[in-house]
Amino acid sequence: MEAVHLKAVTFRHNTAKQPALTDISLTVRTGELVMLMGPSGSGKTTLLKLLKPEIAPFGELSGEISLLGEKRGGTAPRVGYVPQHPEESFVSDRVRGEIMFAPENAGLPPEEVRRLTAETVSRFGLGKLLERPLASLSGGEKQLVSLCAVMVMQPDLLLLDEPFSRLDPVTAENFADLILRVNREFGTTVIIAEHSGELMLAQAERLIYLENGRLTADLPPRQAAKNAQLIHIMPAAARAFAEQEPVPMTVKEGRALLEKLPHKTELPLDETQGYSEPVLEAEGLRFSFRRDSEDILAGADLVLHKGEFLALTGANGSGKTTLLKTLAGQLRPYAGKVRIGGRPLKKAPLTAAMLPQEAADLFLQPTVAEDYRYALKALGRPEEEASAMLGYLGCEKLADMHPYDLSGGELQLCALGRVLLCQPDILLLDEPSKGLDPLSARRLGTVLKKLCAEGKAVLTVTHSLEFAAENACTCGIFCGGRIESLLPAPKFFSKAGFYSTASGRIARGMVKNAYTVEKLRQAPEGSHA
Amino acid sequence: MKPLHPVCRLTAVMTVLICLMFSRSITAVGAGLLGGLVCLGLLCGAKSLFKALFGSLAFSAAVSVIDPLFSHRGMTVLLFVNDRPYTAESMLYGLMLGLSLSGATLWLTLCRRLLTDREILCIFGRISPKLAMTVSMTLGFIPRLIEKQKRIRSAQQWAGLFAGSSPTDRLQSSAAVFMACVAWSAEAAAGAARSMDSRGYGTHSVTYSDSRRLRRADLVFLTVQTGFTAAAVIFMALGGNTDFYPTIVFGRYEPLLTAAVTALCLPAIIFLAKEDIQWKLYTSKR
Repeated sequence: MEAVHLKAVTFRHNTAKQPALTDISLTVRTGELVMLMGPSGSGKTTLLKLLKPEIAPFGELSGEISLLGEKRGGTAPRVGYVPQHPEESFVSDRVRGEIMFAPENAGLPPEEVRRLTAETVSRFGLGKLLERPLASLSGGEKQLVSLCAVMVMQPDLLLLDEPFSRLDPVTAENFADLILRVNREFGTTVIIAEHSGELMLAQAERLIYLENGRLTADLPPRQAAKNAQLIHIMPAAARAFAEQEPVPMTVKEGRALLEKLPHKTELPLDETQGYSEPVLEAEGLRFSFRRDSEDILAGADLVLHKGEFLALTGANGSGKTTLLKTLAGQLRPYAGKVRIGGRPLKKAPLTAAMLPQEAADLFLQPTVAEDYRYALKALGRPEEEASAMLGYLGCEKLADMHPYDLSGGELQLCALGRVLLCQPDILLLDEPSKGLDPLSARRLGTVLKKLCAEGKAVLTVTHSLEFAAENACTCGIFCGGRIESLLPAPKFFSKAGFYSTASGRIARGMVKNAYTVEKLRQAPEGSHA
Repeated sequence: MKPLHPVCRLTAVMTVLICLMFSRSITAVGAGLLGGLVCLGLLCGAKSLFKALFGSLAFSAAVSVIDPLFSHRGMTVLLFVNDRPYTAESMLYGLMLGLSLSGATLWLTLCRRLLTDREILCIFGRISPKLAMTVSMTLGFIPRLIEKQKRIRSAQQWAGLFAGSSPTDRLQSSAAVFMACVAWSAEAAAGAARSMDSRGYGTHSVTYSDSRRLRRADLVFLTVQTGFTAAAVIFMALGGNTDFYPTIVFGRYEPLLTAAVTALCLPAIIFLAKEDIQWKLYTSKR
C-alpha cells in the first residue's frame, strides 16, 4: 500500500513569487523509512507540512496528494508531525499535559486517553519525566516528549523535521535508535527531513533529494553515494570510500572495508600552531545556581589566545553555555577569576562579544539591514558599515529579509555579522553549527577561520565533532564542570576514543590520526598523503 | 491534600478568599492570613513561611502608614501632616486592607501549589473549554515571554548594545526589546496554533481524562466548607464587620465571623498537618 503518493505537485506560498516546490512526483510505500534531504531552503519542511493537511502552509497548490490511500482533504489520515523546534510546539507546561493533548482533543473516552498515555510513557521510557515542567527538560528530553506527543495517537505515517539538529552526538544516536524502532517494530512509515545522512541514512530505504524545490534524486542511499552531487550529505564512511564497491554507509561497514584494504597505519599529524598572546584567561571557575545544588562549573580553567579557534564539545546540559555566560560576565562565579587582556572583566582592555544559541534573539528590527543600521547607530558608528559587513559575510542578498524568514545557516551568518559590528577582539559562540546543512557549516567554518587569521580569538561550544575537527585549532571536552583534555585539535582528535568523529571511529586501532574524512581518504595505500 | 478531589482543594482556597475579600473584620482577616501562613509553612517549609510572614507584615505595615495620608477620617488624631489629621482609625483601616490583600495573595499562592494547571483546566474546561485553554496557555506563556525578554536583552548586551544607563537609553532599549518580544509572541502563537491544529484541536469535544468522581470524603469536605462559608456570610450580613469610623467598634458578630473563618482554614491545616506528620513518621522509620 502507498503511504504517500504525490503526482506533479507544485506549491507556491501566498507571499512568494517563486514556487517552493515544483513538479514533485513521488511514492512512499507503507512501512518505508525515507530520508528527505537537501540544502536549507530547498523545500523539505514545506513538503512535510503539505503531507499534514492540518498544518499545510497557505498558498497555491496544484497536482495530486494521496495519503494512506485517501485523497488529501478527505477523511483525516493518521499522520504525525514532529516539528524542528519542539519548544515552539508545546501547548502545555508539563509533560503529562503535552502527551495527553492529542487524545483528549480527539474526544476519546478518559479511560482510553489514560491507556494510550500509559502505553506511550512506558514504551518510550518517559515515566520519570511525566510530572516535570517542559521548561526544565534538556534538548534530548524535549525532542523525546515531542515525539511521544505525536506517537500517542499511534500514527501510520510519521513526519520528522530535522530531529537531530539540536542534540549532542550521543543523545542523537539514542534518538535515531528510537525512531528506527518505531519504524521497524510498529511498521510506521517514517519520513525524516535532515541535512546530514550521518545518523539514519544507512538504515533508510530511500533518499529523496530536493534542490530549489525540485526533486533531483529518489534512489536507495547506497546508490546515491555514487552520485558526486550527493556525496556531501553522505555519512563519513561513504564520503571517505565513495569509489569502493559496495560503498560503506556505516562506521561498522567502513571499518570492515578499511580492514580489508591495504592501508597505512599512521598519517602525519597536522602541525600545531603556537600561540603566545593570551586574550582570555579563566582560572578555577566555580559556579552554581543554588548554594545547595551541584556546581555547574567546578574549577574550570581556560586560556584563549589571539588568533586561536578553540572548540569545546560536551553533552547536552553539561554546562557549556553556563561557562560562556560566565566568561561573558553575565553570570558571576562564586570562586575563580576571569581576565580579558590580562585584566579583570570590568576593566578589560579588549572587547568580548557573544553569539547566543538562539541567534534570532539578536535581531530587533524587521529586516537584517535595518537591524545592522540600528545596531551601528546605537554603537555610534556610521550606518554605511552595514552593507560592508553583509558583503564581508557574502550575505548581501539577505539584507531585506526578515530574520525569522532566514534559513538556519543564513541566520547564523547574519547573527555573526551583527555581533561583529561591535568589533570584538574575542568571539564567544554558543552552538553556531547547530542545525546547519553541511555546506552552510563549511561556510561558517571558513568565515570563523578568516576571523582568526585577522587576529580575533574565537571560543565556540559545539555538539558537532566534525565541525570542531575540520575548523578548530584547539579542542577540549567539557565534562563534570571542567574542561578536560584541552589540546591542539590534531592531538585531541588523534587521542579521542569513544567521543570521536565518525572518521575517527572508522580508523580507530587501524590508522592513527585519521579523524576527518579528508584524512581517512588518505589512509588506503597508494592514496596521496 | 492530594487525596482530595481538585474541586475540594479549589473550594478550600476560594471560600477563604471570599471571606478575605468581602469581610471588613480586622480579626477575621487576620485569622484568614494566619491560616494561610500555617498552610504555607506545612506545604513549603519554614523558609517559605518566614518569607511570606515578613512580606505580609511589611506590606500591611506600609499600607497602614500610607492610608492615613489619604483618608483623614477618625477621632483619634495622632499627628498632622500638611495640616491634615493623621488618625489611628485610618491606620487600623489600612492595616485591615493590608492584611486582607496579603491574605488573598497568600491563598492564591497556595492555590497554585495545591492545584496543577491540568486540574484547573479540568475544572473550568467543563464550563468553557476554549476559555480554560486560553487561560491555561496564557498562564504558561507569561513565564516564557519573561524568559524571552531576558534572553533578548542579554543577547544585545553581549553584542555591545544597551550599555547606557541613562533613563532615555533604558527607555529606548526597553521599547526595542518590547517590539522584538511582540514579533516573537506572534510567531510563538502561530507555532502553538499549528501544533494544536496538527494534534486535532477543535475537531472533537475535549475529554478531561484526569477528572474523577467525588468520593465520600470529598462530599463531607465540601459540605463542611460550604456550611462554614454560609455561616461566615450570614455573620458578615448580621454585623460581623469592624466599624473603623469615627472610632473603632468591633462588630457584634465579629467573634463568630472570626471563628467561622478560622474554621474554614482548619480542614486544610488538618489535612496538611496530618500529611506532614505521616510523612515524617514514615521517613523516620525507613
